[in-house]
Amino acid sequence: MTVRRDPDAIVAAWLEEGPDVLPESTRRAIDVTARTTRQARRLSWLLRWATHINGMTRLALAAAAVVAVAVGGLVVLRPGTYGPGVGGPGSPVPSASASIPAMTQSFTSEKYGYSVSYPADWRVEPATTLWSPPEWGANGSDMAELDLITPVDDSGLFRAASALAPDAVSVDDWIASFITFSDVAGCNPARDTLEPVVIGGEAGRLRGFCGNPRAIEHEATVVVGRRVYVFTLFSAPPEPSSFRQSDSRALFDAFASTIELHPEDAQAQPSIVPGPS
Amino acid sequence: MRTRLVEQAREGDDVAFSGLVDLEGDQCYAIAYRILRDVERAQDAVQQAFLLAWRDLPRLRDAERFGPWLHRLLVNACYEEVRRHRRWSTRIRPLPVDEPGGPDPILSIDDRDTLDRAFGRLSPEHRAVFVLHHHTGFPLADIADIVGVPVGTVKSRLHYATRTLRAAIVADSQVDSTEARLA
Repeated sequence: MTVRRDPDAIVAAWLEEGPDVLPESTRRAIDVTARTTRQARRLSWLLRWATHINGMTRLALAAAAVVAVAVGGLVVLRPGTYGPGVGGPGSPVPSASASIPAMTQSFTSEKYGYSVSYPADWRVEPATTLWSPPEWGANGSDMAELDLITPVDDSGLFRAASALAPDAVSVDDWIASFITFSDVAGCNPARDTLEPVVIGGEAGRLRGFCGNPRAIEHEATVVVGRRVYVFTLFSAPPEPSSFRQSDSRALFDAFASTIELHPEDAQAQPSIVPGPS
Repeated sequence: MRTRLVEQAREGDDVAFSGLVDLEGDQCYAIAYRILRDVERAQDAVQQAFLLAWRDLPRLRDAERFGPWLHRLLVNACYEEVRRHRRWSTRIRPLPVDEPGGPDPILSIDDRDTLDRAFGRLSPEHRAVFVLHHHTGFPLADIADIVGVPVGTVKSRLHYATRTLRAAIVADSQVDSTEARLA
């Protein structure tokens, strides 16, 4: 006589067999690894910044190219002119300060329609997905949506993106509301009060970051048609006190002077809603 | 508590990260072992997953999503272990690991052998879904999130894996029954 066996019970019993406790040796190995492996601090620092920006930008939107460099201290803004063959208000570029590396490499963004040069010891991580401003606004910027250029020591970050501002809204208002908006008191200047700059032959506005004493940032927004570029440079030196605002500005100037805008080459993006009024 | 640890670890606190390993390590190991059916490779996969978690924690925007994110890293580490193992495997089958209380009496040595072989023929993607659902008890939607496929694909993989293992046991039983009649 054959006893009928339940195959499901057998499979379940087989599946339950086996260890359920991570060996102490593996646990120790993980601990050692964590102590000796460097985290992507650059991203962590940016994340904090982005989180702040999110608070500020909420449904962020539009496109932007961001360049971020960080220095420390207050941001001193001054007029600048960037881009090939462009004249404009204010001082010429780049400003002389510190030792600014030569911009010997070049990168052309296939997604966002611009090109920029950068130093040889910096690396590029092109965006892998198109920027999703509402998501950015809600959860923090997704680094995969931004073109990132970083030095090998992770002491700074230049990032960029662009997007189309929705029709039927003022582009300046839209930028102020969703890109440069800050919920920190006194950090919400109207865009037309910011320092005028010219990048890639187009008029833009430059601002420093407000509300984060550790961050040094220069961020330019440039509008071509209804496409909004954002270029931000952050500096996150290990010792902020050793970093000068002027150094950051000089580096930003160096990047900005190489930027060329090609809005016609930017990838089409889903239409972006203006966001809550 | 876990969210707090994640936030601290994200800021570079390795002690907090060690706390996360204490919280999540056992479950990760149990999952990895059942996907890989090999103690050492399971340990390697867990270690790799936690290494990636530590390194990339600053990329994790929402601390509440640490669990699914870690499990995704773990499953991917298991996939990689399978691929690496296949490159140099000499087809040495690992011995079953018995619990402290001894093997389950419902299982015969033949059952284990049959199921080990049938499970080994499944793709790592099928194994992962099967283990995450039947051993860990994750809902299908959570599994879809972890392995990065639609829920429909999860259902399909789960159905295929379950049917394969069940069929292996049924077929084995039929052979045993036939042999018994002939004896």
